[in-house]
Amino acid sequence: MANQAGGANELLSAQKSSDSGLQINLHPLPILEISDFITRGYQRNFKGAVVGGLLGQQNGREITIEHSFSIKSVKKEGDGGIYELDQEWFRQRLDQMKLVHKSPQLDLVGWYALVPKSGPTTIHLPIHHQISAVNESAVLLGFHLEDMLSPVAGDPLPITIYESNMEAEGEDKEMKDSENPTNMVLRFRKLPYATETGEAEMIGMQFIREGGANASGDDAQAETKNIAEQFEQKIAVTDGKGKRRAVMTSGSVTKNPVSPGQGKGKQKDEPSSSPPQAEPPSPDANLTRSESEYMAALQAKFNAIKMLKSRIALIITYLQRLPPAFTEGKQTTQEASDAARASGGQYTIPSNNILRHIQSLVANIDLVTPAEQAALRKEMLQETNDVKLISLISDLLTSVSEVKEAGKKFSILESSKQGRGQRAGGAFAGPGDKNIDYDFTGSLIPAANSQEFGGASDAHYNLSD
Amino acid sequence: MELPLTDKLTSNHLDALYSYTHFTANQPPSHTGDHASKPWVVDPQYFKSVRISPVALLKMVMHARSGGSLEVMGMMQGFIDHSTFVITDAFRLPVEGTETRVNAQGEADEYLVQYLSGCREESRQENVVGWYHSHPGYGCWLSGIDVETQKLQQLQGPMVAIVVDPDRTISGGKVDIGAFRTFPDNYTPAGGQPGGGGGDKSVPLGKMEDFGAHASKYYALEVEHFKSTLDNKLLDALWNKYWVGTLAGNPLLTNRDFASSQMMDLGGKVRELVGPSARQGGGKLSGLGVAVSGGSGGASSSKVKQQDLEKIIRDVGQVAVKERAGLMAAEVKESIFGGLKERARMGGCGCKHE
Repeated sequence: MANQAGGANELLSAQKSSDSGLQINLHPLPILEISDFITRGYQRNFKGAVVGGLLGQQNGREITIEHSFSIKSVKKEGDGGIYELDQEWFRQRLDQMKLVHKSPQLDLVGWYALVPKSGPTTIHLPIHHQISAVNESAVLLGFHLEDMLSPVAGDPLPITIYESNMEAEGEDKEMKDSENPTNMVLRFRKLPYATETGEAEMIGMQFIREGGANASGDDAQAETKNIAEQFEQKIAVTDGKGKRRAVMTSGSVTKNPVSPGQGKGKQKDEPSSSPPQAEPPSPDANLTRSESEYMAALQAKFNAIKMLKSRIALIITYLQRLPPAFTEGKQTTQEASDAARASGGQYTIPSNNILRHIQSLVANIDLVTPAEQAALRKEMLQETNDVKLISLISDLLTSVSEVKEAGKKFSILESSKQGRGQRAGGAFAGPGDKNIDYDFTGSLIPAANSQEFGGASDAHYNLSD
Repeated sequence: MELPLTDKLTSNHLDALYSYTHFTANQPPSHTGDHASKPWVVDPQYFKSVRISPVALLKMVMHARSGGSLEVMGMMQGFIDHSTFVITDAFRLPVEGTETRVNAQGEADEYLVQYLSGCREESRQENVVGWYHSHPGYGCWLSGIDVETQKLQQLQGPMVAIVVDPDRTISGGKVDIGAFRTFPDNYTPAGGQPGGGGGDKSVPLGKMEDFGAHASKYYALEVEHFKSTLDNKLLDALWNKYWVGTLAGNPLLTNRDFASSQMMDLGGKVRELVGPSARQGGGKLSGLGVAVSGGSGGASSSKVKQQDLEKIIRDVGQVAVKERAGLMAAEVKESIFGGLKERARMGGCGCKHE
């Protein structure tokens, strides 16, 4: 009897609407926190129980699980080593958590523990009772380590969420007299859950996922960094032939605050400070930072599309491999599925449920194309225009800056030509003169007192700094 | 309930940062002892980088995001590995509006003490190695208040300050985070390197002054992150659920507000640059290049203008890139899902349809 307390009574997701109707939305942070606990536990020879609390919001039937924290547990002497929470410690930590999670206000919605695939067992009961004392409808998030040890294909997360109910024990559910009351026992039931992520979480997760760094203690430089990080220090340089060369800058950028995409001739002046390093010649080595960001975005889209494609292919394969007798309408679903099972994998097993889902999917495709094509197209055009406008502004400003550069160089040449002729003391404009600028049309703007060529005493070339 | 005996879930080499042995072996001279001889006291730029665990990172980003436009703050735990701070966890502090007073966390002292003693009781031995706070929308750098707070912190031992910007994180699709340490009062960094990572910071007009005034009092550390082998597997599993969001999302829409505010801010900066010279002939663009007549302070202000111009150009370039990526997302959606109805009716897939 005691062993049945947990595993029994697993109603599957087909009945989720007629069940208690609890809807769970699981965020990624608790999953990572549990993983952190486990890894830490192994690395530090942790001997206690891996348990913790789950914080989230409960709005009627919807429960979100957004945050988690580990809980100190103690092993009771004797009694076969049952774990219990340290009540006082738990209370204090829970109060602290509630204090700092105020917007939105989070409460205890459940707890997590390592649970075998078959379901919670008696050892999970004492803590469950402790947690339920705080929140009656607390759920148990079971983490299945066996799934991580021997992964099952198509079963992504090694997590099951259980809710608990008091149910009448035994088959007989008739009304009983008060002399013979029904025995109510605690039963766990699997709850389907959805994963939900806020945008910030999504971005954080992608950041963590894409950075190739592992937690080894090796020197930081030895790790691989992702593409975007690798370009932090590279500047795409155009040498005179219009080709681009990636040049590593030295550590500090004091001498040459050059931004990516602009360092035309300046890098060449300082070959000593930026020798091209022996980097592995990757085909992406010549991208500017903005281009590499664009590429990363494209890559993410590509992966998502690949995923979509594989999922659709899965559905198509399923349909294609249905037993032919079934598709021609000669068998009922039940016969067909028995036969398919017997055929040992040659045909897929038809299931009315799945077929209905596919049917509704196809019917819903219509919903994707919006009714008002004209309005959609107009809005797309507007968006495109906005984006192109911003690109244009950016290019325009870059051109302005380049023209300034050209103007400066021209003025240096001019002034040095002039300076050779006149040596009226002190009016010699040295290199690096930054104060002669040109307007957009390229003609020299007269300084305070206008001068023509030859009037050096009037020339107000400000000395370089 | 307990961890099963297996060595398949973790790797001693790859997950070394999670162990105690790693950090006790690599501790530089302990916090106790002769203070003046600690390597970070001798060399104010001793610490070079910061490594953050996934849990800590997510918690900080989530906390910053949940604060909306209010600055939030918390503490970080971890240890020191030669010249790297390793941050293993982070937790919130119950304080708000941290940009208005020095040592705002003084209010949360009691919370801090209780929380830390709770950690010790559940045998988590990490020390506090720093604090984090958010700058919603105005970038990762230290304000004057932050510099003072960090200076106080550094008196107590090796500490690092981390800043997160949740708004730029969302709009840029990349976590916007920075780590800093302040210099002691009488120290000037060799080479006059601008503080706070200088070059690629884009700071809104309203905060420019605060940024500039203190930029030389601190320096930036390199931020890296790490993850365990188990994290890797779980992240792969989780990713299977998120591809839907990538395809279905519309970044142009989500980031509209932020992009608009950035453009306006940049417009303001351009106007400032152009401002005094706009009255002379030639129109706005020429104003950008007009010679400073009379040479009063001419040379240096023109150089500053040059740098400002470059920064503006960079910022506009970044906005343009993000917008382009958003447009690409919309176009991809269009090409995949657009016209599905017609395609289906035309029997493109070879199946029967009504």
